[in-house]
Amino acid sequence: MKKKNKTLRMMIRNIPIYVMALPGLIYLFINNYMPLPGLVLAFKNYNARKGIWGSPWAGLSNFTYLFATSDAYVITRNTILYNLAFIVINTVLSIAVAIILSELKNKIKNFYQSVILLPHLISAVIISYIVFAFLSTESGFINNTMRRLFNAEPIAWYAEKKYWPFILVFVSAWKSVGYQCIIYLATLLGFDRSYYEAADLDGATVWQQIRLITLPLLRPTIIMLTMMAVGRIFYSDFGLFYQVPQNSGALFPVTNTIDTYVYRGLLEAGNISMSAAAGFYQSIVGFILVLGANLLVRKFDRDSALF
Amino acid sequence: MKNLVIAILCLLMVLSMTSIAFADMPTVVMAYPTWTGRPAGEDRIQARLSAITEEKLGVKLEMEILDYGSWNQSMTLMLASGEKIDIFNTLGLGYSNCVNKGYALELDELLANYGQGILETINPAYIEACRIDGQVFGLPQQRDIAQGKGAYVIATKYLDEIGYDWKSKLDADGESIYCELDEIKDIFAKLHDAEPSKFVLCPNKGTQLNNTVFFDDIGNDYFGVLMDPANSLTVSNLFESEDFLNACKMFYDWNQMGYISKDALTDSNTPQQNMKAGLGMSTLAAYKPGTKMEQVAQSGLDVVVFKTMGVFTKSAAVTSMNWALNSNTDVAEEAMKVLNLLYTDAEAATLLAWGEEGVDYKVTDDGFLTYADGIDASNQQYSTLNFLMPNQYLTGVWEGNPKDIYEQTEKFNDDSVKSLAMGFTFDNSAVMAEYTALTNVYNEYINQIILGFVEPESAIAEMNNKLYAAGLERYMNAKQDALNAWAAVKGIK
Repeated sequence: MKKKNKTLRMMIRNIPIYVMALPGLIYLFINNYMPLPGLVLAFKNYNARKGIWGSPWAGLSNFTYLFATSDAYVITRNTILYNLAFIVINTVLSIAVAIILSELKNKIKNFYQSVILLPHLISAVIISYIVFAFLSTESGFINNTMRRLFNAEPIAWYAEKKYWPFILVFVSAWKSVGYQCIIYLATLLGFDRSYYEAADLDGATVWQQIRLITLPLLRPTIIMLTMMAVGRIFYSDFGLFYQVPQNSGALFPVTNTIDTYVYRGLLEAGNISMSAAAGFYQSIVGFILVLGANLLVRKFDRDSALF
Repeated sequence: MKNLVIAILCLLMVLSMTSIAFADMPTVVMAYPTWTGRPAGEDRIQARLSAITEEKLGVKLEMEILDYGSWNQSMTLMLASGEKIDIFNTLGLGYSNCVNKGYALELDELLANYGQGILETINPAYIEACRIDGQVFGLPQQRDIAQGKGAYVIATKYLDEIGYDWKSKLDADGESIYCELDEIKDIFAKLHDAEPSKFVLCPNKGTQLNNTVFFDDIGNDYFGVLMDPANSLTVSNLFESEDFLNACKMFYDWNQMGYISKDALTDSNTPQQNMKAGLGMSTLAAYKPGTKMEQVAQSGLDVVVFKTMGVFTKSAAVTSMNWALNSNTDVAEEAMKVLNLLYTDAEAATLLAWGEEGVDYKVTDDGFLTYADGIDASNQQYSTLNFLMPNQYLTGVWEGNPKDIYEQTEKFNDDSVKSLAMGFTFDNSAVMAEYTALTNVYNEYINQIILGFVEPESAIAEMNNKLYAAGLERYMNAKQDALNAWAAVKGIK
């Protein structure tokens, strides 16, 4: 009885905080929960005249196109491998940048922080043109520089698929490290400085401090962000894979992901049910992966698990 | 602050009362795209048009003008979610797609009762071509239905430079020349010698295939086509045809000789922009009466149109931008009356196509339309895709075109080679998995091959292997079966 009262009191005391959370919750509800019944479209032959519920059932036939051909292997492989590479590389880089930034003086730190955040705020279409300015065959920066300096033959970047795994990983890091490192930086700055002072007194080197104090303290944040990324491992950054390679056909074997495949295949057909099926498939697999990853984390490190 | 709130509330109340006051007159909403989105003068034109429909039909008219860039998505969402759209154009959405998805309403009965003017205006053969399963769901507009394929548009200043006497070779229309491809090859070689730093040809990726090979892309895709559309209904694989191989070889040669930009695969400028910028000397396009003026307007260069292939009305040409009624409309009769008016009333048609006289356009002394005083392309408040409008033949001729352009257009349509499959549409929902895979293979290879960036024979073989692996055989069979069934109903052998 007493305990219940305490909970109630806590809730009443926290009303202002609940109110603050309200807009976010409403947004979440409208944006993420209200469309959930629409998932049923993935199993229907949608007809506008009959409406969502009146349209005939289609069983699993809307899903078959995702697995119908040898492309299924390529797009799934591309999606997963790129995302794994992004998760690992972007996380390592973000942490490194966050640690470096945390060692800097305030004013200059703010400056650097803003500058590396900038790419995150640029739209993918504009990024694609920045990349094009470097890689254009006739007038690109790289080809022209190489020609002037080494008299090298120009490379048709948009027709040579072997370079693109590196280009995409590089662009992705350039675009997202600035944003991710802010989260790590915010966590870093919240650490109790006395750990570091004690370590200094004991004569620990900077490297030892990073390895033995910073990284272990960062672990919950790393695990949380990584798990969120794992949940989206079947999605791909559409702008990165569609706009940045300029939709060049020659690059499809290394740039086609589930999202671009669905987009290209359904762009003209405009089949709502099949797009819904693709989205359904991506979400379910992502959901399972998050649950699985969380299970693993809980097994090894109970405190860091999300739930 | 408080006063402001009260003022807003009052305003809302007044607004809601006025809308109640007009509620007894039904409203028809008409949706169509433009390249540039909602024009500044939309409200003004809408008010003028609505005044006409209110007076003549007792119907209010509203316009929903969308940017073509987002048109497809917005329309799909609006139609799927039951928003108030009564009349819409199927451009980009696909006519048969709109019918299969249940977006478009059957029109036969409405046409008979309220659309007499439309039936008298449009060529009955074209209305027949719009029938799907015995019903008409959409109506074509009065425009160039046929298309002249393979027109090399070359700027005259470069022709003069190589001393090519184009003036004496011009056709009766004074803007084009019929010639063989060999002559083009010859001209290109000379142009390249004369201006080695400029590209001879600025290709247009989207239309390249259609302008280099003569075929009918029945069902609106390239997977199974008619290679001899005027005489045979046999579906075959375009990419195994001799014509396709030859076209690719020609472009491969041209590409090797440096006629085409190495950036052509990723270039997002239009060919005309590149010509305007002085980067290139010619482009490949489709032609029709008035092509020269269009090209001149876009590239700013005087050009000659070299016609290397015939004029063709393909199976999907009639239905490619049909006017349709939303199947969920609650004012079907009124919507049909409005369409009927737009097909038959010169005043309404002109207003819709060109805006207000004296404000948006004026009539010159010799009877052409041109920009009103103080208005030009950069500051005009109202413009539309004139060819999209139901009946541009009623609206007068824009300055720079021949006076009889609409008669020329009709003759152009009538004289064209017509596909036997005219009006055939293909519901590919049963082979959608194959279609998705085929489209991805097509996109992977087509631009490299058709623009000559890869050695054609091996690349085409590779593409065909992948197409067959993606189910081309099954897709073509499904198409052939649908075509046979369609032909049997229409009584075509």
